[in-house]
Amino acid sequence: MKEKILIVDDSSMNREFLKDILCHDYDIILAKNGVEAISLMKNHLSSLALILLDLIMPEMDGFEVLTYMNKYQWIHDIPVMIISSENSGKYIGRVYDLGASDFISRPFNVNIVQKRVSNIISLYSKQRRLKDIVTEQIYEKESRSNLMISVLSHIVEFRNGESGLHIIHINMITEKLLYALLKKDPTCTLTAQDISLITMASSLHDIGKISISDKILNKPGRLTPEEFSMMKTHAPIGGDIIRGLKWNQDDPLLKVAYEICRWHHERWDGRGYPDGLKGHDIPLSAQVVSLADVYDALTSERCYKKAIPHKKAIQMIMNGECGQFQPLLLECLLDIEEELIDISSSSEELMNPIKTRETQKVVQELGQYDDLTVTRQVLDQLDIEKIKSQFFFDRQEQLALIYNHSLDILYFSHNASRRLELPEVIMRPMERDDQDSLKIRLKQLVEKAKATTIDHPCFEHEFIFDIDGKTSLCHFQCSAIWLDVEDSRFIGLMAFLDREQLFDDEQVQEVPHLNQTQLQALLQQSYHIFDKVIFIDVLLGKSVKITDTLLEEMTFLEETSMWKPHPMIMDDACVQAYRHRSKVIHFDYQPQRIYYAISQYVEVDGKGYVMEYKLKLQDYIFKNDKQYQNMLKTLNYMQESMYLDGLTEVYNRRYLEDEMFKKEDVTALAMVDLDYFKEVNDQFGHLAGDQALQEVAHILKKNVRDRDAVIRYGGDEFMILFYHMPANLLEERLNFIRREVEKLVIPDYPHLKLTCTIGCACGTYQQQLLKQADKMMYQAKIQRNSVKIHYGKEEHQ
Amino acid sequence: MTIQAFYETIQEDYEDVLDRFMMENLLMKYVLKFKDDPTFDLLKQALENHEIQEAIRHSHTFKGICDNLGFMQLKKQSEEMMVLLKEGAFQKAQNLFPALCQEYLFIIENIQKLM
Repeated sequence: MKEKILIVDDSSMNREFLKDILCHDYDIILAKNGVEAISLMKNHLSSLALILLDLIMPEMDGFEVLTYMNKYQWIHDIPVMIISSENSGKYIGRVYDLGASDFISRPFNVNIVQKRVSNIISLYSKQRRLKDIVTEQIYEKESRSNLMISVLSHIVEFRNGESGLHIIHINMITEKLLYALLKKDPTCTLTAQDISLITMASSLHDIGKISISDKILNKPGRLTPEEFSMMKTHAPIGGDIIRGLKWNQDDPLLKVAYEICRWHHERWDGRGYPDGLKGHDIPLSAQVVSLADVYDALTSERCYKKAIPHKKAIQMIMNGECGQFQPLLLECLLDIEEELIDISSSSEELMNPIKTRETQKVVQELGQYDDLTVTRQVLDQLDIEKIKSQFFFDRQEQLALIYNHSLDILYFSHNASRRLELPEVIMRPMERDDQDSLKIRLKQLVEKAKATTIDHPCFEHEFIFDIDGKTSLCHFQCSAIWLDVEDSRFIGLMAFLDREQLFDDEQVQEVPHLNQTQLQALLQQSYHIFDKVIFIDVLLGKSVKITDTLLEEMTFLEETSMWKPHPMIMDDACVQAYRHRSKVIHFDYQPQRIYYAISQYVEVDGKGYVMEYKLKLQDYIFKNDKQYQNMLKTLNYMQESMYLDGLTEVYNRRYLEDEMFKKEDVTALAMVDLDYFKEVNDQFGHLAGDQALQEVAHILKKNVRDRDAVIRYGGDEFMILFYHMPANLLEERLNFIRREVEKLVIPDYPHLKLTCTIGCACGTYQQQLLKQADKMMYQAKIQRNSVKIHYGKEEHQ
Repeated sequence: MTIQAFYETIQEDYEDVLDRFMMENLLMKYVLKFKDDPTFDLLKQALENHEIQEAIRHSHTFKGICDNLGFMQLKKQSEEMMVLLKEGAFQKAQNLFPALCQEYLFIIENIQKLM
């Protein structure tokens, strides 16, 4: 396979030229500025053999590219050759400082360019091969020994009937003891690597027990002397097992493992087994593991004994009840007492992160061992992961995004990029203007993500996006990306869309577009099928009579028919069909008849109307006419008593309670209270009062729009719900109503004079509206015959 | 006209250029490409619109291209212009343009004879 070279130059002539002279021997990819170069580098991180970089370019120049490569240490793995006609010493020095490998100045000499390119590539590839070999060996060895250790130690655990915890405890206590010793004893020569090795090998301490019979191993009571001497053989047998491995016996891990297996039952005073070694003859590794083993055996429950509390266990060890240990080690044991309590009380679940930490430490040590910051192997693995995630990311049906906070790059999935009409990769969104809508949203996400923790990185977030050109409320499932267990570092976040909701959740239905002739024809047909066809101009609230000159001849729908006795269904279905540009099917009932009705939105010569087709429900559906009449009566009664006030025929309070809080588009609420109404009743009698209420209700209905709702809230109190009411029109309208009431004359009672007080509140939080409006009303009551409005913040009178 | 005759007509050093390009057909290809390269027009536009940074960048690129093809006269002129632009002497730089343009057109004219 040919090596790959990335050529970055803003002049196409230069790019082509370099490509021409190099393409016979190399794979060439081209970028016309720094931004393109970085994004290509990301995709070819492990396959790029060389970058030829121009210095002066738009978007992102060569120096910035080098700086970027330094920041992420790519500069160590990919050689960069600068090509520039800018050959002042200042420039050249700077690019070398930034890690460039070579500098070629113009004019090019084809031969020289080819030679230098090939030199650098072969130099780097040699170095890379070496790195590969070293890394592979380390990696293989590590994985082999780790695998072996875990297999062997689990066999022992399994046969011992011990929990996996014992091994983990031994590992941890051993490590802690060794670090304590390192701290305490200045002559101690242990390195971090030695400690990690001993810790690893400590898992194998009881390996010899695989040769001991189950009966002895798992015997609940005390062992007989014969059984005990059998048991003791596990130490030398363990040593033999290690020695018998067909492995290089100079391997430090095997050496330590042998010491531990054979001598972890030796004691400081020479009274241990199997060899009766004394004092410093016992290798330190074995001494430490034996102490750890004793402590954990005491504090854990076994088939033959209960767990002994920490304090008592320490006491027993100090008193020499479990044999003598090196006094210095005992001091170390006391030094780590608090950590011991943590270890023995922690459950297996809690141990897992520690295990990971252990692995990380090994990895870190390995890193020091060979100073390979980013090894080839790791890069390859990363590439594989990247291909995998890219696959899922791009196939993701839903909109998905990943934001890398440390690099400040935002990636969108194919679908997301298409639907949001944004590029797939956005570099440095955080450097955008503070007003930038993308930045604002991203900032919110980042803040939320930063508030999570490494254990609970998931969260949900909602914001508004233009999807497919339509504004939608989008609900995202998100996860923050944290690195490192110990001091977690925030890397970025990922998110995918799981719910979206269009703001006007209208379903797109096919809207019939007609011209007048077609409309006439349609009507002709419809008359044959339906009992009634009404053509309605919803905005005007009028039915339109169809004649040759469609728009001229209109008859008003009788105003009352819009309101009583069947206002809502008519109103609702019609308005709904109009607003949603769709079809609404409903029952419509007149006092004498029930209709099956279809309200259909149509456009005639580009203007929207609603066509209502009505079909009489035939009497034969019911057994007899009486039943039909009963049905009608019941329905009428229900309708009226449900939501209409019997006296005034506006909505009643039940309507408010049922409907108001369902509708989110109520933007203003007015309370209308008649002044001194009690006196009207007292002076003119209740009949007059009732008539006055009816008249006022009529005024209110007449002076609000169809979609607004008038409600009799109680006694002499009315309420108006305004849907999507512009705040600036509100005051004028309410004052108009107030004056209308003031002007009201009731023929039967010419001396009866009425005024009203109106309190109103604007806003969208409905519960609050009612309270605010009420408050405004009481403030206005001080003057009476006045209007007071609460606009959210300021108040106007 | 041969490529050698071309270089002789425009009074540039053919031997030196061929030495760097090694192959006559490669040289020929890029001399012909020079005619379609947009850098000169971009430079002209930047000067007309007083876009100083753009003008610096394009004069730099143009200088590099000319240098490569051995159009030393043009290279010298564009380099001078670039230096003046960097010093902030925009008017002086602009004054150099007619001469640069003349030389450029002269070369283009001769490239057309190559075809």
